[in-house]
Amino acid sequence: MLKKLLSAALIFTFAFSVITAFSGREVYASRYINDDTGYYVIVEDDADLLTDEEEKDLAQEMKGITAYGSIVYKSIDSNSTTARKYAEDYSYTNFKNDSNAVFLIDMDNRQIYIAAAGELNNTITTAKANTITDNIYRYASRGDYYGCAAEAFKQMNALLGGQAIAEPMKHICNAILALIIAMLIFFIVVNRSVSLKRRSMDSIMEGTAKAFVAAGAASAVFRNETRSYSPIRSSSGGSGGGGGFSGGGGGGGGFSGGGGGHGF
Amino acid sequence: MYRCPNCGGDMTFSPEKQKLVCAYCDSEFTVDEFEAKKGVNAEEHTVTEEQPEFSEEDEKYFQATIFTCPQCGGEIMSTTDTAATFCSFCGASVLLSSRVSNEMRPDMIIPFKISKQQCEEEYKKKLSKALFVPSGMKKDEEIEKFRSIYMPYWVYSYDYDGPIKTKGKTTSRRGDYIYTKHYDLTADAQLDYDGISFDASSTFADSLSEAVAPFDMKQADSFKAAYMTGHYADTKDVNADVYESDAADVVREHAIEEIYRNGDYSKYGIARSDISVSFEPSLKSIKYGFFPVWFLASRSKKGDRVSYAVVNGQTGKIAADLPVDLGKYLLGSLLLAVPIYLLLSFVFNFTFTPRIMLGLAIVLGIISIVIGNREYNKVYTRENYLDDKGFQTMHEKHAQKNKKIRTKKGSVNFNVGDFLSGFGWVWIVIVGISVLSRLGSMGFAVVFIAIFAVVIFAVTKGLRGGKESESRIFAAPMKEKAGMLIKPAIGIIAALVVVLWNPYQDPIHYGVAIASLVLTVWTFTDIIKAHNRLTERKLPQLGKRGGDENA
Ligand SMILES: [Zn+2]
Ligand SMILES: [Zn+2]
Repeated sequence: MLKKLLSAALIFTFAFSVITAFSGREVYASRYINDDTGYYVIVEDDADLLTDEEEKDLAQEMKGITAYGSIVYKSIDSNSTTARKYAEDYSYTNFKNDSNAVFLIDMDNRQIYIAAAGELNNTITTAKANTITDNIYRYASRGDYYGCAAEAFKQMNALLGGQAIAEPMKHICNAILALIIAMLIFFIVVNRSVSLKRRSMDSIMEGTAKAFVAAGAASAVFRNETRSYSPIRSSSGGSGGGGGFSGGGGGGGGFSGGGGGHGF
Repeated sequence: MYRCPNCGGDMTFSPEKQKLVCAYCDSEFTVDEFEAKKGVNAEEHTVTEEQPEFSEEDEKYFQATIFTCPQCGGEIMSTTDTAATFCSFCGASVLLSSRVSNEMRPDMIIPFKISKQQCEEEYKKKLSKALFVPSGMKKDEEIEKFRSIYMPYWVYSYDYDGPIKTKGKTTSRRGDYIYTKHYDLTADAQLDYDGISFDASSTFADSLSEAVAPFDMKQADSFKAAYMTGHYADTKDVNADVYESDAADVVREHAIEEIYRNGDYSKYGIARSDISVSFEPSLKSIKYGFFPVWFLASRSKKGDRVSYAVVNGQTGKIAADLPVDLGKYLLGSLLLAVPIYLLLSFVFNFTFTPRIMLGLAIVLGIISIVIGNREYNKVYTRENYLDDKGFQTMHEKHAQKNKKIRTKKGSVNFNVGDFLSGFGWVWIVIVGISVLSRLGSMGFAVVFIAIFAVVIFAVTKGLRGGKESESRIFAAPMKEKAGMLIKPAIGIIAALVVVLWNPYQDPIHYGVAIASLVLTVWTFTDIIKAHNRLTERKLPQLGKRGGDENA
């Protein structure tokens, strides 16, 4: 009974993935699926910036990223919104907030944009997306769209691969940080307990046998008068503005991730 | 010399009983009783033995045994000739050579009130609160070496009767102008100060004597040698005129403060800072006093330096050099680091991005520069005796060198380290904003700077500690501290380069952050070593000469 149920589940899963895979093939121009993770490589060159050969090479470059999430190359000719909005909508429509990253070349706005969500967003953060687009936009400016995309995916790959080293390094950093904080705390404690204080006026006077001071009221002799120009400004100092706008309500789910881009 | 009238045993002035006590027959005498009895004896002695013709000189001098340390040349005196087996200035355990001498009789003495037991308790309390003190210092046989020594002091008295001139101004507004009326103010004042004291021994560092001040001059008695029985006294070697101007400064400053507080100056809009000090108090007298101090010298582990502990023998106020055992410090820091690490990594779950980590490395690097620079300046000030006027006047070599430092101060003082610690705030804010603007959102940057400000405030507050200011610190020349400052500087620069370069690979960020943080750790060990140069002083090299004989 259990066996049957299990095999049924297996078959169902297989069938589902095949169906989705096939249905996907109908929607997308070029794709690859990583059987281990179920993540996709999608290359949609709507603006026709790449040759067929380049598309294949690019897909090859992108494969590595499917270990962490789905990865998309998308180029567009016309865009009624911003590059960011387009990339985020694309990501959300196709993957919801499953791990994915969309690399968009928006020829209409002349912008490149990387949107990442889910697991991938943990590594390809907004800051990293900005860094990468900073690094590669010059390729696009020169019209080398393949070089631009290939470099973007190469850097994403390196970033993701580097996580394996970066993670323990982060902990080492935290450890040394903790050590320095401890050293600082102890230094302050030690220094406080030993610092030799200079004697104050109060303490000197405490010791004296006598400290008598008597002074009469001061007599004043007028010497001179000076003046300085200082116009009285009618400072209005109004307290500005009324209450602020507090966000709109409602609205369904949406893209929750990060990204960054650069004009070219 | 001062024997029990009943049995001939050695007498000791007991701080608890305020009486002379015989160790053998338990007889007790008040100082006056004893002096009366001894007076008779002493007369017999002086008549039969030395210098019968100097009866007038008798008033001016008293006979004492001078013990000299063969290692450092330090001298202490006693009214008994019981052998002294260790030196209280360099900590050496040697038999001090002794000779009898006629010493100048002080005008006044403040008798010991704190017993050895109380003193040791104070010290142990201090030790128990101190962290990482070398174990050697906590040994009982070390602590037992506390010695009761009357320290020589010059006591200055001033008075003044006459006008004190100051400047004042009132301001008023008419139309678009502010009119300022300037006045010369004159107030007649009478001042009378008795008992402003400065220590007259170059072996008793000013940093220590100031730390255990004040002594209450109201409890001083006219000098009687009986108070010295069972105790020692340090020999004076600083001339009476050395601190004359300092004492006058104290009078001026205090008088102006008082006059300003009580006076009728407010209607002239006079600010405290506007008061020009233009009167010269006249010196009434300089008196020579013996003030009680418990004194302990402990050699460092290597034996090449010495730490002092002093307890005010009248009030029990303590000041001690407490060096830090570097090994203990590192171990303690490691142990404390564990919970901090767990807190950072797991409880608060801080996920510092690589850039933030670099920012933290820079901040900690700057903090270590500020602290390190300060410690090195303190070492420089201490080791050149810039904070010790008494020492300087005794040792012309230092005095000349220091005069040069003082006069060249303006140019010598300016260097990177002091720039950091002096104008550091500006520097830090500029670097902070430029770095943080690239690290992430400005909101975060503001929070970050706020945290940093709190840390710096805590550090500087912690360093200064309390209301009383520390002794003046002179800036060490750059070449003396460059070796220390260069480490965190390299770390900061490397981290800045990476922040600006902003490579996409996280390991580069983390790698440089780690390197920079390690350099900061290294700097902190340097800081502790500098701290130990302050708390383990250079061994004294004393060639004592008698101070001014005609006060
Ligand atoms: Zn006796
Ligand atoms: Zn000695």
